[in-house]
Amino acid sequence: MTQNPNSSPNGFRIDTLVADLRPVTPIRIGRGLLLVAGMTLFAALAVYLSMGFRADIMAGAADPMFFLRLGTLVLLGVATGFAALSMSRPAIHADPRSHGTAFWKWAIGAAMLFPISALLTLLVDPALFMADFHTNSAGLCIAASFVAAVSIGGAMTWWMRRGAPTNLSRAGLLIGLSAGSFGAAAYSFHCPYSTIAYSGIWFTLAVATCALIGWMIVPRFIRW
Amino acid sequence: MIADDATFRRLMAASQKGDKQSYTVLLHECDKWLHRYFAAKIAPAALEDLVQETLISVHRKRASFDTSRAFLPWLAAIGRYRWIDQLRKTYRNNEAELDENLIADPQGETVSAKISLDSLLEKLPEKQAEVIRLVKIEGLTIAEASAMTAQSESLVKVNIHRGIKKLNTIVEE
Repeated sequence: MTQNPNSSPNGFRIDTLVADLRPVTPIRIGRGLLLVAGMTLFAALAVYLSMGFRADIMAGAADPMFFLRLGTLVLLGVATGFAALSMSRPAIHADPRSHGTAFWKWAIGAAMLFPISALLTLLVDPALFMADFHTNSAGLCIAASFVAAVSIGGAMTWWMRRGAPTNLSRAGLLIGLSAGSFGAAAYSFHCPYSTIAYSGIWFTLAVATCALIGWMIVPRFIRW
Repeated sequence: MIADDATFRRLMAASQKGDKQSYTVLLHECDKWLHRYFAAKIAPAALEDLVQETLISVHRKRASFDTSRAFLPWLAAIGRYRWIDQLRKTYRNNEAELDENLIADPQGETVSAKISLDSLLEKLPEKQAEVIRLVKIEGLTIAEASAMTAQSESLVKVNIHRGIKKLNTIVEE
């Protein structure tokens, strides 16, 4: 008796997979990034409608610190988001530069300048640091950034489910970092404070919280 | 003879568009390649199931292949993920029954999986293998593993990190 070439010894049939074949659109990272950009704009719009933008933005003369903070958050969000979405297309021994996973650590390094500068301010002039710290609005900063991040991170996680990430913890961490950065960027349009003490501590805490939650929760949704 | 990467890539590109003839050839070639890829890594009794699970993953995740890139690194990544996942599941589910299985069925899949994982861990320094077993397989916390092994918590973390990195390298070779 000859064995069917499409059937394995314990009955698995390649024919079954072939019969189930449907055309698929290959995953495009650019589309994922567009989704993230759209969700971030949506979050910024929600911030505008619910809390309003900073007075200096509305007057057309935003503080330079606003641009520095926004630029850093967007840079961090793009670098970590690109790395996360690139993980949907796995390959062993892939060149990190061409695979999109080479730059996120550098972006974190650049963003760390904010908390490091804040801590240096604390060491040099504690009274000035405390005056700039504005603890009373820290809860709003973290909560609003987190709510915005949940919608952005949720969309990224949903998009990622189509892919095949092989390092789930890292993918979760990067999704959390990216969503947290974009969520904080959206909230920064409202945040009235421009001091290094405030931005370096509270915004960092907001992003770090999202990264931690992404690392803990996202893997269970993208397991395959 | 197994197809080269360019042939695999062309077949997958056609398969993503719904070409069933190309897909049939692709899956048969993947089947052959995966048998060879896993043969040196796992026990023969577990080979067939693992190849099948990997082929099903190839089917479900075919949209994640980028036709502008090499195919075999993608296939190997899918295969490695399935292999590690299978080892983890089998090890966790059946650890308690291992001794009985070893007597009753020395060629069984459970035993094979444990032997595979154990043989991998044997290639690591003892301290790294010990904390990986405790934290990643048995599910202990870092603090518990630290107390059991007399390693500091930070050393436990470092040893897990270094050990898993080394395991990945061994698996990829």
